[in-house]
Amino acid sequence: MRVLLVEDDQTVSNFIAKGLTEAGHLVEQAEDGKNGLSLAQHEKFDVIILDRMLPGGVEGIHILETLRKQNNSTPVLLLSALADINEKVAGLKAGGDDYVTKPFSFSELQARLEALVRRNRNEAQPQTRLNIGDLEIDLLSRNVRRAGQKIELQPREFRLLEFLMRHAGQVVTRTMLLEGVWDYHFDPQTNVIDVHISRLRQKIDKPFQHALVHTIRNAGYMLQE
Amino acid sequence: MFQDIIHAINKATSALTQGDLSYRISLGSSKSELDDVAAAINTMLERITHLMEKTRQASNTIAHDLRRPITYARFQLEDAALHAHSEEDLRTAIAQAIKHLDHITSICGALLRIADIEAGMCRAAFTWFDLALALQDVLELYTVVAENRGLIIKATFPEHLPFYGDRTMIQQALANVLDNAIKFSPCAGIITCTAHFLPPLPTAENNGSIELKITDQGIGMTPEEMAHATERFFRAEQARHAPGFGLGLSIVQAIVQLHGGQLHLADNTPGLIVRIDIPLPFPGKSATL
Repeated sequence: MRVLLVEDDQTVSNFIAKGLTEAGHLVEQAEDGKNGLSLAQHEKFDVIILDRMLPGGVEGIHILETLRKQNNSTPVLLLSALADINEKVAGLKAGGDDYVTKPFSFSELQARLEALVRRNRNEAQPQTRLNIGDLEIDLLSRNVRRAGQKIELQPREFRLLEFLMRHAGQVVTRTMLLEGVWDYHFDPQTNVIDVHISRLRQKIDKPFQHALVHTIRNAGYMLQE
Repeated sequence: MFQDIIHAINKATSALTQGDLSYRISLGSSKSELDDVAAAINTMLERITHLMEKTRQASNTIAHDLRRPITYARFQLEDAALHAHSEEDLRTAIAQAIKHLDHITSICGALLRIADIEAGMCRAAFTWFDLALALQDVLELYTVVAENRGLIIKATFPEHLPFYGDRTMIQQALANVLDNAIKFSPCAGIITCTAHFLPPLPTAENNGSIELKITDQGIGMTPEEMAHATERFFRAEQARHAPGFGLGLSIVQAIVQLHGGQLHLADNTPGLIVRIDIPLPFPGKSATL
């Protein structure tokens, strides 16, 4: 994917650019708001990473608002050193699609970027059925089947599986699951997510030949054939 | 006489400005008005000294508690730089060091969160919501974790519980308390969680209150430990080796205070009782807290 990275801190910017380039993405770097806005307006990107506080008078939020006013709907991930929940709300209200607080792990950032780009592509066609390999879920009847066998899931287990299936083939971090499945916006101290994943595995993986839910070390989970 | 007062105040403030926090205006002159002013100023100086002492202690504790994960990370990296024999050794050490750094980030995050809550900024986001549903969500998240450790969570609360406040924060408060209850319980036991509405007393200025109570049968706390439990970085003797960094209950306390409520700890013989009382405002009058 093509990424515009607007970040004034060179160390942070190069760290992100290096990681994304190594993952096979094309990264365009801008050091200030003015250049960032100009690039965003004149070129096409799959996603924009925007630092909240930029030098030179053009703030991240301002760029975001300007783009949205011009009907530019490129997904925007905001980066900020401000962990305050109100800041996050303000960022999302201004038209941001996701928000990551510094310091962050690269795998968290990458997973969220990929999810944003994927969501943007998929939004056009609403789906009623999702499937991966021999696992199939029906979003209307809430039926889950693997290899033709019906699997009973609790409502929350269904939402967890649905989230994983919508992000099939992508890394999904624990924080993404907490936010997306449970609507939690704080870090629980215990690894609650791991316990829920292991429950889900008991039902959808254990009785079958090969596993679909994979643990990605130091990052999260991935549903993959 | 005014000149005396002004002179005394002047002397006291310049002493303070120069860093002498122990200076006090001497009392005992026959002029009672001067004594009143002097006493008021002295009380203020006491308060300033006390607050500064508290701030100093808090920053000492923070520095101390951040030092530990920093020491670990540094040790891991230095050891790897000097002694690692393979790429795998290096990678393991680096991964460990990152974990310690993440730990520091969590501590900073929690401290900033407490500061934000204490500053009361988040009150603007208060709304009416159904506490029963919010609690149910947290319980659902933690029940599975408890079951995994052979613990049972018994929850009793009405179907609906109108509540005024910040949903995410109340959830975080319950999550922190449950987290402790699970962490400090033996491998079998019962954790209870109850919530109910208490109607207002005829004299009360609120619209009744919500009582939320969580009990466990774990290691509990001594009265002395209870008195310090909400202090930042406080860890009970028996809890020293459990994961965590002693900020969980500080966050709970800050959240409860933001909602104008009170947090009480009591002995469950064995175990701990955590009771949270939060007053409700009258509908429409949202700023009474």
